[in-house]
Amino acid sequence: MKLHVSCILLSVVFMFAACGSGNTRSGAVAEAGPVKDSTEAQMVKVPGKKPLRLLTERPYNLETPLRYFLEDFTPNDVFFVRWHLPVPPAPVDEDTFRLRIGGNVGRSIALSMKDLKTKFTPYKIVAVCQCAGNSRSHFNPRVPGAQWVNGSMGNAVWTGVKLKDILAMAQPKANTKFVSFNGLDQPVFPSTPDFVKSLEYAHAMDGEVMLAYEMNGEPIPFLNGYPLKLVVPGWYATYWVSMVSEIRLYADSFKGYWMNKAYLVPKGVPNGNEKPDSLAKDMEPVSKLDVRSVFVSPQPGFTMQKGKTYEIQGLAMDDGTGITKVEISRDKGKTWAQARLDPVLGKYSWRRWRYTYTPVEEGPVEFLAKATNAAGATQPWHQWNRSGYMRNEIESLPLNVSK
Amino acid sequence: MKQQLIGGLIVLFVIGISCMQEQKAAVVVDEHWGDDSATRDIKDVQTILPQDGDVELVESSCTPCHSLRYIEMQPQLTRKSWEKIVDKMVHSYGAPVRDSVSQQHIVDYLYSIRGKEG
Repeated sequence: MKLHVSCILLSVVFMFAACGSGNTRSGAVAEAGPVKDSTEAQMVKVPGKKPLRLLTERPYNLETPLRYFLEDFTPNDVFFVRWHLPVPPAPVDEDTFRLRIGGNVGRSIALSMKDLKTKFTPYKIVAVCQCAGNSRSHFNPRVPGAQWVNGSMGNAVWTGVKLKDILAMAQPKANTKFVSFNGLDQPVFPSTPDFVKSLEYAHAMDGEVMLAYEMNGEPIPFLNGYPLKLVVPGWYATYWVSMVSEIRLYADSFKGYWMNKAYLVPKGVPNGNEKPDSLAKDMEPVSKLDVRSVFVSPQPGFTMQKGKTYEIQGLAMDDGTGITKVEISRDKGKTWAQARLDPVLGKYSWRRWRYTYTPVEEGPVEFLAKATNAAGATQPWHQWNRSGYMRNEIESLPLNVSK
Repeated sequence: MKQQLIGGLIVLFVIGISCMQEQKAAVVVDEHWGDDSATRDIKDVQTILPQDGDVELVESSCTPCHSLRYIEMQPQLTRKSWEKIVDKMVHSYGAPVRDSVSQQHIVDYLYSIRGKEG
């Protein structure tokens, strides 16, 4: 009899496994003004990319339309684009490009792309690259900054070299504490701080942080950081420095605008929370990805037909601890039902979830999605911080049901 | 034992068929939403802010580093928020603003097009 039960279970698992990513808005949005609302979609075409949602054309800040999140790996030609400084680097010549490593090292080195591709063991990892400000436009009250909806994220296979292998070649001194990363992008004025990020040395040497020269099996697109991009699995994309050309090691601390003044969140507070009328005083650099889930399909406002069966689909991600559960509610959180999770694509990948639903009544219906990870971390009902970082509030998807 | 096996297979078959039907019927709405038909070339993107007050001062002070779209994109913000933003642009990023009077004019303009009470 045991055999029968396991057969049935197996068959059920198989059937579910056999079955096949909306700008959800959970805060106040529409605002009248003399100029167009910031969340209104405008599509633009840039060389090397399919049409992307325009945030700004200088610097390039372009968002992936939601429908591409129906794919597990975000295609390179729709992967979101985020630059801080306005001077687009000139096309990089792979033959003359050099990665320089210096500072607190035994010997300063300069590596060519050929060196990186031939002198080291290639390393590959699947990881979500999500902007710290992803979904900023959903915060209520609204906050200034790049007004992303949910599309400043993407999942990819990154191929390159472990940072620890590269740093080892430069013989880091034993007292090294920090490592900084600078790319080829540059400010207009000397008074504007160059975009330089840093990691603690132990983190840089953890065997997962890497310099990628390929994204989904192709060279990294120019607008995503060709020829070398820092990949910091489980950490927000602000650390994923593009066009990395200079790495420096420090015996003491690294100080820089983009580490000490920008990209800060309230210190030691879950989800980087604070209140508009009592802002946190103690701040720290944003770091690991919060647990979150997003709806991918259908798009908000879609009308389902009564009696027809639909698959509500979305993605969940965290800092690499591992998504273990995604729950769906149709009654504002009174009751929750578990969504089915797709197989894990990698520790730092996002994980797709699916929920089958057959509407029985006409009228509006609102879905909520909530992810939980292996450490029991989940999503908050409400979240806010002044800069609009680490958005992971429980999201809602409003749909309709017709006859 | 044989009966159990047959019974089990029948249950398996029924569950299998019903699951298949359910899954076959489940619609993944992946139609092409989002309107790509209005796509422009990025070179054609041009933001025109309301042409009054100190718009020229705003244009000359802000556009060396970012396009006017960066302003158009912002939500409505309180005067205090705009003061903080402009102060950051001048003192952290080195925006070319002559003096505190000009800085105040920039705040006034931004507040006039993208302001809210509070």
